[in-house]
Amino acid sequence: MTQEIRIEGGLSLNAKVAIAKIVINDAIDRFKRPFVVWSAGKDSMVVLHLVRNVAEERHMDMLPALFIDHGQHYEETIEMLDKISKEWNFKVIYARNEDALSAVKGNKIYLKDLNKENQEEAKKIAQPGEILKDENGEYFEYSLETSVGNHILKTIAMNNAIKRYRIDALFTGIRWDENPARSWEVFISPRENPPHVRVHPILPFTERNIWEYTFKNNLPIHPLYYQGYRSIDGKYDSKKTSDKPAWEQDLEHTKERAGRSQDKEGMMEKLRRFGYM
Amino acid sequence: MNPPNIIFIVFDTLRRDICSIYGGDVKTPNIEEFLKDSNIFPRAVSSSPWTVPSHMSFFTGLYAREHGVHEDLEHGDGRVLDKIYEYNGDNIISYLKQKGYLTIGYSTNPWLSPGTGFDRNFSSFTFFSSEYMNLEEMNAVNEYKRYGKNRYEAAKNLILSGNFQEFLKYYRIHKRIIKRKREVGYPFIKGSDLIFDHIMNSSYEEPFFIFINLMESHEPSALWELDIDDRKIKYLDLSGREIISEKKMERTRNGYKRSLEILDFQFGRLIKYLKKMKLYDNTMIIVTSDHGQALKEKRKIPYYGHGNFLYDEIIEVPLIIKFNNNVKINIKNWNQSLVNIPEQIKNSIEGSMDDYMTSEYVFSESFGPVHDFETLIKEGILPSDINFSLMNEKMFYPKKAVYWKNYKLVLNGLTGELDEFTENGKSQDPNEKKEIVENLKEQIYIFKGQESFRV
Repeated sequence: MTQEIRIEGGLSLNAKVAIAKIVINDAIDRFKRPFVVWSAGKDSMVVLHLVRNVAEERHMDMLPALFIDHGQHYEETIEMLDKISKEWNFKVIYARNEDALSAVKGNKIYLKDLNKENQEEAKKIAQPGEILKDENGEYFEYSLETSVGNHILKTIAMNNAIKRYRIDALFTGIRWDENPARSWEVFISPRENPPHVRVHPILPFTERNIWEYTFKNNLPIHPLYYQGYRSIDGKYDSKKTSDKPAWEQDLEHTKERAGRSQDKEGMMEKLRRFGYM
Repeated sequence: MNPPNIIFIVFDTLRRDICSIYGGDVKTPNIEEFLKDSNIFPRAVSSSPWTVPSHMSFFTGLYAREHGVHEDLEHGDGRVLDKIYEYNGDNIISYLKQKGYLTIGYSTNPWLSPGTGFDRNFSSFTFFSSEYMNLEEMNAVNEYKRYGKNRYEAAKNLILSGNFQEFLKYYRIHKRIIKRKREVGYPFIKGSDLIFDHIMNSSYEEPFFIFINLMESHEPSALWELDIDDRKIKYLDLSGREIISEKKMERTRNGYKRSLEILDFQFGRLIKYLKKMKLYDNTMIIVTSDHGQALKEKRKIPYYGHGNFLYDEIIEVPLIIKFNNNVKINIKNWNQSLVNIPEQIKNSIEGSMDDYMTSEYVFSESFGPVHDFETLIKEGILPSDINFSLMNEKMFYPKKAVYWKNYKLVLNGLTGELDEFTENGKSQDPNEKKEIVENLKEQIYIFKGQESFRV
């Protein structure tokens, strides 16, 4: 896999929106039970809005949204989910790894407290040094920073939801310019275990495009972006990259995910292989 | 370890509640004995109320909307054969074939016969006509339709036109068919004896997968039904035009129960044979049904037959699985969906002896009446002045049922109204359990996906 980051700079925002709508329409035509992955972050907010527009054009109900609840969300995130889903009139399904969340003790998750499936998954994905040991046995940190934490709290939660709700297509807001692992993604990408497709309508959008679209369409903005966060996920792992609002920062020359710990070399690629977006 | 053989038996149209192992009053000594080595699943639900979508689910692991092979409001079952061919995904048969299994199918149900598409991926698939007609007789039944919409009209027309030779030919064939039906015990015995005779006279390369569909419990279940098309009986009754008398219905119920005794006897022969051949221990045996049968129970719309409605007696079916080496497994609480059969088979042959049948939410769906009324009228099975408006209200709408724990909720997809809300099979006031009703409606909302089905 190449390490280059792909940036689609030649197309106008209007053209990228048109592409996104073609992708969304194609997926809605072909799949029976599509969901939008929605985190209230800026990218998934754009996808949600685009899907809503397409649904209106097609005179159909808005697709339901899937929210991956890893237990570390900001209160502001949850408030946004409630408010927007009510205003826009669609259902939000919370995907949670209940088994893992109920096993949290302080900031640790002990393997012995997990069910067989979670134990096996944790061992499969853990990087060297991520599974630690104390007098109570083997554990990993209750964090989204590590491969194992991310996999158990997010990917497994999502995979279980895909199986439980028999989802055949998941719309996500990944973009080519985020990092090399995402730079070679395709618009509709089949996945196995569980079988479904990922639909990526905004791949060619740059971070700048996201903010342009957001302001142009007057989309709700997560309050943390005003405080200087550029990428938001868990409340213990997201950090400000500046005190300026996200859209006023130097988007083209600094790293978007610098405020999140997941930029460790190669980790995105591995997570992607195991089903994380 | 040798991969286990698999025998998958569908007792077509057998509802759960009459079986003694589920507390019913029909004695089934052979199935009871078999239970000692197997696992009984307490609350299995079929994904559809009739043969084709339900079997498609068995083989694909998908609900009807997902595999797309189901009746529709406009055409009934008129387009179903095309849809079987249009389905181009994998199924459990192709999977087993890849794993080196010999795949054999035996059926007495015409929907599941060579040429329908259900035989795809089977090494061999044999249909045993349950009415014991030979080719000449089957052709004759089709031919006389040239002379009239049904055999009475055909006979009348032939006599009136002076074509006595033709009349005599068809009359003789007709008599022959009736005589043979009586000799073999039809409508009570419908071919299970032939299939098991055949199996006991064959030898199969191991590992084998044998699919068997037995029609004994399918209507007709009593002698009075023999000379009338079952669709005519069903729809004239439903439209209020010719209500089935309680006396007739009682005979049908008795015949229906008798069919299970016959199935139990035949099943006992198979088990004895497998033991004798030392095949029993290394064979996984799945016994279930594709749907049940309503026998005019006391309901808002009493009904004889299956299809269309999602009554308990139509979609709640028996499910017993004997694993290889007669392993007993832990069965999870609550409901089982028959769409999970392929997953259960795949995991079991890999050696994972868990319960893959149970799901938190289990669904069943109907898209309207199974039959195409236009064709039924054109063929003279139904009178052209049948009261459609009454029928419309009763059945011309899609339905979806969801089971969760002890609860069951059925929605009318045209109006979004509740057709049924029960706990342990007893009707409940939805206003008293609003939260549960809302949750179950939400589950149907998610399940229906993009289908235009009102919730």
